Amino acid sequence: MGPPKSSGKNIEAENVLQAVVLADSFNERFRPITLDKPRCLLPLCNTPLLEYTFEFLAVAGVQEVYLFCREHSEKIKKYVNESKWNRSYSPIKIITIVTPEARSVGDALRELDAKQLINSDFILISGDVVSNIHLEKVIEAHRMRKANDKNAIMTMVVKEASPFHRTRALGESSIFVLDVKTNECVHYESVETYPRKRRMVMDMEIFNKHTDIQIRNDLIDCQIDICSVEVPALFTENFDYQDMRKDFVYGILTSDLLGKTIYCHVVKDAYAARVRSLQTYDAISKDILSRWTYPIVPDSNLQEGDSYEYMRGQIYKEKNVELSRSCSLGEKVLIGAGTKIADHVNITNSVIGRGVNIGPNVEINDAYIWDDVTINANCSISRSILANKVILEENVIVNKGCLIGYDVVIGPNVTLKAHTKISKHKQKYIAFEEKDKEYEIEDEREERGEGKEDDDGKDDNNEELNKNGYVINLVGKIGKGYLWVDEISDDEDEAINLKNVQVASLAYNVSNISLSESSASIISDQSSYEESDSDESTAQEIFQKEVVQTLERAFSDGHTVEIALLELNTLRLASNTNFHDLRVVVIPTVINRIDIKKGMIGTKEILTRWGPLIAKLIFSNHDQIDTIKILQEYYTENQSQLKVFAQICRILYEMDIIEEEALIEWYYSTSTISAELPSTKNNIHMQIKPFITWLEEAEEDDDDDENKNV
Amino acid sequence: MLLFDSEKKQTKQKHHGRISEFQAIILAGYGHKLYPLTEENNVPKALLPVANKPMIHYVLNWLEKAGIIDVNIISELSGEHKIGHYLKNVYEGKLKPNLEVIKEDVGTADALRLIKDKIKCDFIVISCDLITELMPHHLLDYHRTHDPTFTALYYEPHNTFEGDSKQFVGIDSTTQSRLIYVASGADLDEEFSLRMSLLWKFPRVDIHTTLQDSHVYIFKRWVIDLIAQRKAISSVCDHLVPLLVKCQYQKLLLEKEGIDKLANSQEPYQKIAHEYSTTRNDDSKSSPVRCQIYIYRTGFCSRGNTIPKYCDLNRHLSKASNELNISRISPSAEIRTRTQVGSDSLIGDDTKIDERTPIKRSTIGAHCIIGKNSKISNSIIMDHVIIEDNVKIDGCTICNGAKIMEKSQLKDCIVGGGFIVESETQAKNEQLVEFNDLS
Repeated sequence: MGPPKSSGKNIEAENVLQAVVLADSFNERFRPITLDKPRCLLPLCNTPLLEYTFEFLAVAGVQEVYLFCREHSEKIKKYVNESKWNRSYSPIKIITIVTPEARSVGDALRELDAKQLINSDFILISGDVVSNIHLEKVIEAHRMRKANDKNAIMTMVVKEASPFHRTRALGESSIFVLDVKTNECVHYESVETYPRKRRMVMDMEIFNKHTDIQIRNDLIDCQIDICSVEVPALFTENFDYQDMRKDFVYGILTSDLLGKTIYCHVVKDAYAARVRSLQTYDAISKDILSRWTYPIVPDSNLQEGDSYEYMRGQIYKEKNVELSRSCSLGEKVLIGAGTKIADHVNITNSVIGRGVNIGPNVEINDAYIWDDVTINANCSISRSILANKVILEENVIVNKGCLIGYDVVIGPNVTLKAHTKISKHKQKYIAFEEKDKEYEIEDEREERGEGKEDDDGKDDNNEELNKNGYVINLVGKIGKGYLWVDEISDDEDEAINLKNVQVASLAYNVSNISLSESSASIISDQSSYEESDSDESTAQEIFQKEVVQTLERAFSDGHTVEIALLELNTLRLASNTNFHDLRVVVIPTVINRIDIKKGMIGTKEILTRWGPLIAKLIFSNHDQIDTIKILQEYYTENQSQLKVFAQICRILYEMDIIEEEALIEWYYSTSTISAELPSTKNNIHMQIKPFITWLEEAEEDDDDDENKNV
Repeated sequence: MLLFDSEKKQTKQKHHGRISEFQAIILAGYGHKLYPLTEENNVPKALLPVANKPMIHYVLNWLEKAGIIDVNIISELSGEHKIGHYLKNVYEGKLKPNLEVIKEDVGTADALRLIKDKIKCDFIVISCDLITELMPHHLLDYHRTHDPTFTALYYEPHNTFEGDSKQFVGIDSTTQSRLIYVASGADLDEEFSLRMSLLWKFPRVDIHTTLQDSHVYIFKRWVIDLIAQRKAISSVCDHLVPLLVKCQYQKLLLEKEGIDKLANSQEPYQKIAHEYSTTRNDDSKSSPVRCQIYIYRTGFCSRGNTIPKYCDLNRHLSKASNELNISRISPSAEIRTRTQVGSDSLIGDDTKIDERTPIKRSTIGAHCIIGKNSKISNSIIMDHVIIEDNVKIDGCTICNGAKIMEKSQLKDCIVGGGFIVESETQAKNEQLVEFNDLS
């Protein structure tokens, strides 16, 4: 009896297609909204995100889903229990696993391995994917590959798009290097906006195994992976793996010992995207409304009780919506049931939830308004998210990129600055004062004080409270809500991460975030490789330091001018600076060596030795003037040595490093304004005057001579 | 009589009045990698025989097929006399190449700089050692339709040779024709890296390591101005091509080198056509520098720039010589009975071969004398070589005027010009050259 039964079981086991859904994103991008609701339950076009993922898995023929939750696990459990997926007709069985201690994807997979739930290839996906890819084909391809290559452990499903595609999360895209013939992923590199990556680097050994490879910066990685059973085990073996991509994929590909291979499946004609930031939330909403995700569109009515109808101009409307005669709906608008829209309301490119009340003369553009929001007359909202039950009193203006959390009340007569986040939850600050300094650079600083005030009781004159105990300047007279500021960690890495988060924020705009200049250049000018300001200042300092060190070595070791020049030029090329930058450092360093006590002799000594070096840094009349200006600056700061200035000019002139024209030009260009300048500059002129007069006389003599000759 | 004269004049004028679209520049350098074949006592690289014809014959033939009239050959001083002689007295094609002699040993771009005044229109730079079955008009038409800054011809070698360094060629995957990265394996160490600016401009890059550079480039005329301005550019494939390739995505470099101005100085052919066209102008055309690559995969293409590749060229061409209309055994050759010449071998004019000497997979030049009971296989024997009786030669290259005395056995050797191999010499994998040549 035994043997046949067990074999039957095996077949059955192989047939069950399993999926692991990570309901937690392991980051805090959607704070403060995610304090009340997990990300996977946030509505995207009025349907919870998780619904899209389940639909996608059900279509792919998945039968068993393990849902990993961390925060808000009760809410997720409750949602799943009440959803259609828990009915008898549901094609998939959902098993929720709560792992409160899991801090990363790696932890979740280790947990999975410990529980031994997986017995064949499974789909690993996060609970925020929207896709209409036909996964059966991908799974089949994965099995074929496994048959050919025993070491194949994973297939990453990636979507082809332009590198600047809106659903490609800015700030965390990645480069895949594939073997052209097999689509084996041979190298993976993540690209973050900060710190800006200049080069991608890979091991030459790759070329020994793969003759033709393709480097792709045009793939959207929505982290849909077909994994074999070994994957969770590998996570257990390598307990330091956290991130699926940066640690696991990178680790496997660079490991010589494991010898495992990972493949990519490039999808061309289907849609796949992941809501991983506010920026992608916005992009994907628009994609759904424009029907790129068909058949996953609102009028497919994914949830029970949905009753969306598709109308001309990409307008979706549920039953029981009250529209006034004079309101106007532009294109791409979705309106949920029970919503009332009053007179003269303009709505374009927006999603309006259920039971929303919109008063007269309201403007709504690119906004996401969730269920049961009340917007009173004369409000204007652009490119922002208003969570459930938000109330905007009259005359509230919400600028781009705002995020207004659950149950917040704002108004009346309040204007919210761009990128303001407001929540009912008070933010807990750690070492707030220190951070306050950092915040100064951001433009929201006025509204920030209230947390500080509450925390350490200091009185701040600007922050007047309303009767509910909230800051009037921020939320208005009857408003309720605290300002939320993205936490900046002391850790430098995380500060960088924060910048990446900002790039990925809703309504990210090149001109809005001053810090992101370098990424702006990526976007606006694809081919440029300008330095960003912040980078340059530090690079400049490093450069100066290195130049000084080089010179000091040259002084102490007695290098020849040629060797010193070679080293300096190498430095200059390496740090991409010009000769002016070099002169600025070299000249003061050289003249610093002059022993003033020795007088003229000392000056001459140094300049005969190192003058030629300075000469090698000067190419034109302009450069000569620049040189004099550098000297001038140096002696403006070092008054005591002022006497030497004229000596140096004289010697440099004698050495033909500076010509008389340059000296005279400099003298007159600066002397005209010198009246207003501090006395030192005048002193410099006084010092040099005899020399200049002498020069001029000599020149006149020359002219005379020439005239005579003619 | 009078009538005849005037007609002749007219045709002559016509010939001169023809405006050429392309000029060709054949680089006939020294061929360092071919030592000792290119020593003074043998022949310059351009004249090394491949299937009993000098290499340059194939290049000239190819250019003639391409319809190019204006051909310049740049030769080094040492080759002047011999190449000049060849062009004047031996060459039978219709072209009238102009021989430019420069002082020895400069880079390829340096050589172009020296004759820059001769370059009046878009120009083709070709090496004298290329032999290909590619029909030239395929390449030229490709260049005409894309109208880039330059088109480079790459080929998939039919065979890999040891001396070849790996070439890394990056091609834009979406167009499959833009050349966006070049590097030689010798220049790269343990890491392979790409600039991100490249990947933003060209998000899909195919990197090939199996392709070889044929050293055929078709350049826009303004490129010679760039070469003239930038003295630092000394080699076409090591400096000029990488620079132009980088200019496609490094704007700053483009401006720094002043290439944008140069590039705009010459109106692209198709600009007017695009202006009057109703279809939208392709954006990619707007960039001032565009590098195209033509990959030839379907037929034979190889260079004779190293000794193994030179030998391979010979083998390949003597095998395929039917197509090239070379008579296998010259009518003036004397071959005694019981000597078999394989169908993959060639025998040149006035060569005498004595009894019982089988010849397999070899090319034997003109005026050679080969004795009895010898055996020659897989070898190249140039002109005026004397091989005595009972000699065995396998896989060797024997230069002009060499003499191999009886009972010698040579395997995989190179015998220099005029060298005398003593009798009963046994050698394997050796270069047998005159001593003073080594100094």
